[in-house]
Amino acid sequence: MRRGLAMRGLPAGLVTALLACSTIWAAPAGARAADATRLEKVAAMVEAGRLDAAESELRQILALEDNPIARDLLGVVLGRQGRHEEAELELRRAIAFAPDLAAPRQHLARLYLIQKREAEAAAELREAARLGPLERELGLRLAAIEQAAGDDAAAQRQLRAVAERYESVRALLELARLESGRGDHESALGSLRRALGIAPNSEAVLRAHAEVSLAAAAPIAAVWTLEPLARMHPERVEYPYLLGVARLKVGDAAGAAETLERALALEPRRALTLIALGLAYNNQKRFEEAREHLVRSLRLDPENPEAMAALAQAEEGLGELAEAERHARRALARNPAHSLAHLVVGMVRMKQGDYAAARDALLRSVEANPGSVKARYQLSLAYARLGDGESSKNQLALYREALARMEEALIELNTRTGTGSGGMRP
Amino acid sequence: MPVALGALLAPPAAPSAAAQETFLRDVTEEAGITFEQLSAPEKKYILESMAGGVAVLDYDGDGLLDIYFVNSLTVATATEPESAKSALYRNLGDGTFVDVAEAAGVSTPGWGMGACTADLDGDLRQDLYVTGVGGNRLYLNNGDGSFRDATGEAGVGAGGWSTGCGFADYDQDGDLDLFVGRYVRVDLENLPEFGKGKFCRYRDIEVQCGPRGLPGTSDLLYRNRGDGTFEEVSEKAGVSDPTEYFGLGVVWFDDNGDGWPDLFVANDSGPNFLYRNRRDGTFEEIGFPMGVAVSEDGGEQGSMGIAVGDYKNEGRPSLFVTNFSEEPNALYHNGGDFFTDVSFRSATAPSSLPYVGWGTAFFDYDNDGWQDLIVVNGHVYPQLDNARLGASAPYRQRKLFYRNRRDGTFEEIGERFGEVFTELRVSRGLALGDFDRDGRPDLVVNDLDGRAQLLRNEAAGAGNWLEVGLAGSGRLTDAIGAVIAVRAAGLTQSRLVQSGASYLSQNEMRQHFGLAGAVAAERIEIQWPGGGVTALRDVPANRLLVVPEGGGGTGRDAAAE
Repeated sequence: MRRGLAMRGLPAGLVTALLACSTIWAAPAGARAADATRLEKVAAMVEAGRLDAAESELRQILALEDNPIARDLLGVVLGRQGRHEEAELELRRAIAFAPDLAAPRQHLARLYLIQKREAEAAAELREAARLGPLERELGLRLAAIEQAAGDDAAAQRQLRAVAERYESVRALLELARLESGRGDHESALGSLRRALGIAPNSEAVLRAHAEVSLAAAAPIAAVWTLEPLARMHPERVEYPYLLGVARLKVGDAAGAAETLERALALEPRRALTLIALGLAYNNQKRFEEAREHLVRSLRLDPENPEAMAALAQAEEGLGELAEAERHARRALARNPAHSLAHLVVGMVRMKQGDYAAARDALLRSVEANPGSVKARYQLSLAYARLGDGESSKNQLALYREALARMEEALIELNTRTGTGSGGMRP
Repeated sequence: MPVALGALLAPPAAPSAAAQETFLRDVTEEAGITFEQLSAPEKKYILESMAGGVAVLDYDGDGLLDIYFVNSLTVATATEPESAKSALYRNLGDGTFVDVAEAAGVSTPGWGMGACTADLDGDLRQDLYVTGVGGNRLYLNNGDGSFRDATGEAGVGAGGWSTGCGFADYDQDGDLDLFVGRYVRVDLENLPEFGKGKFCRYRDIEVQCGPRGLPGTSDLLYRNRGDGTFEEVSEKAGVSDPTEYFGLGVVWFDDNGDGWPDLFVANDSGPNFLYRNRRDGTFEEIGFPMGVAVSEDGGEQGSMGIAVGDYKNEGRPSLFVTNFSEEPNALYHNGGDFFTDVSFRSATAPSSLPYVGWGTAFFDYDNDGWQDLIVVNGHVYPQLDNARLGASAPYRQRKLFYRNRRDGTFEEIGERFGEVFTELRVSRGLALGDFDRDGRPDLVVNDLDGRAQLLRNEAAGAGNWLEVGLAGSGRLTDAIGAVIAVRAAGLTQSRLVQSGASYLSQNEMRQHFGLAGAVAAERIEIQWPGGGVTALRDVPANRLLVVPEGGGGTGRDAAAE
């Protein structure tokens, strides 16, 4: 139950807000305007917790003339007193009197939620949302209801409305989660950037930004948010881990290894960290160290295809071709489109002088990962050795494009993080 | 005198490296060598980090190897070329040397970088070419212990920032042509500011800028007209490097065994070039398809120095290229039709990862018939010691020595040999030469910071040996480009006579062969640059053999040397 609802009724401030709301005072035709001053006094009583006095005052007003606002307030007061049935009755009367008034519907929905009458609450919230903006908590609740009902579009609409009206970080986080979930990483990052503008130091937002950035193949943005997180929470393993993964994705193997070592020190028996560290060492060509970590990771998670493929890569680097192929094949049995595993098979075939088989494996590798610099380069060599100069040149051009992209990313990373590789290759 | 075949075919057991306690001894001081590069302590500009080379030559024709150390200026002393004195150390034959550079007229080539040698005019005297910033120098040997600056008349001044150089008769017209690698386009009046800019930071610290982020520059090929002048034909020949990569090391070698010199250029932070000689005065760049442009994973590396060697004794020259730290030095094995990056398979790569490699050479340190490998190291950023190092070694770095295991792999065992290999230095140029003519190749190193080194090979228990000098015909008296194959102890070793090698340096042109236990070479075959072949049989070991083109060899016993 959300915090506002747990207070047995409506937040006191909402009463004032309700009274101040021009859309509410602009009552539908047929309803006579109540004495505003008197209702404001009642609202103050409710806010002060003087519920009995407020009830008495409201009943006096209603005795003089029926009024949807007064009846709505009475419903709120009764709700706060735990007199749910009476509250429901008054709120329904208010709605019947003024069907286009949103507030009584929201209050009724809140009452239903307290009573765990979810379907009725949802119906009232949908209707209220149709009439006007929902309170923040109710808007978030409706979004959750819509999502649970499988209507992501409605959920997102509601979250956007809440985010727009209340600058709600929670709404933006939820929205980003939904957007990312349907693969729209760009919109998700946009939502998260807005959230960061509102709460730049929020751990939840920074973390979400990093995770979405990684999912969006925007590892530089992930590094940018993970670095402060890792600094702010040096005791948490997930941040140096994610930072290491992000650096690895950019191509900064040295930075990745350094960060992942920190993660491993925090939690030495975490398979994911060991795998990422193994990959970082592979990229640094520190194959012995890579193998050691990957063997450890496989003890913890024996069926992990990432670990198997990475181990195969280390073994291939160490010249242990039979073992490399065995582990690559095991990885492929679990994931037939594993780019790294195909690359290892291709490398093994290159070293065995079987260039046709190497070409085939490398083609499968680039099919799964078109941006692989190594696979593209080796494929160009395989074609050259098979006498297919044209294909070799084509692959070389693709290799150069991939290399340029990787280097641009590294330079951007170095520039943004203030580190650098000097005037050498990044 | 023929020697019993059985004796020749009896290779000794592989020596135990662990038993070796002596190898190189630093004899710089006792040799009287005091050369030290003029050096800017902070290296705020890339210009101050890249020098310099060293050349081993017999400039006075006395049969003893002399040494030329190239000195460089700094940005602060750029307008005072006299402040950086290069040194020409004459070998006195008693283990000592004396600097005669002033008298010889080669002490102030300007902002020096590297050097290569050749008898350019066919007068049997070795001439000297010095590369540098702002113009190169061609010093022709007068034959009286002095040189004259013939740069202008020859038309080989180049300009810009030149680095590696090498002579070869690429067009086989009977005279030596010259290739010059060039690095970065610099304007001394407008140098990039230290630490400012995205290519001027390294691991969170401010460092010199470049080479990336700075404009590169083209390379130069000078064709010898045969009249003492040269014509710049780079573009016409297809070796000008229009992409303007950052050229450093340069070697001529015959990569495909067709008898025509091909060319390899080590580019810093870019793909290396392999220019295949088309035999019509032009070249085709085939670095990528041949597999020598980049690392095995497609990474462009910070390539510096080059060694060419038939380290597997299979009759084909392979390439070893030194690289920046956190990049492995690259060993490209020549399989005949193409090269394969065997850096890790050969076990040369892992130990090289922390170091920035420069000068390098294949040589058989213990005369077992298999070429070993040396690399000298040193970073470019003195500020590095205040940074997080990661996997990199600090600014000053040790040397690496790889013993050939005779199976295509090497074992790095430098530290077993004590201080010469454990001492931390900032080395650049490296050259080979048997200065004491004892049949064990010695080494000379030019450091960027600190004194140069003369390292005497005192390897205990070394095998028999042979040194072969070639006397080419016509104007090609050095026989540059000749390939010498020596069969002994069940092995056929091959060596190439080269001008320019290592990092901006020049090795001795006579070729050294370890014969292990064999007391004679069964067969020596020389393929001369013009295509002729000379074959010799049953040549006794432990001597310097001088072979004239078109004639038999004349040997001298080592003891008599």
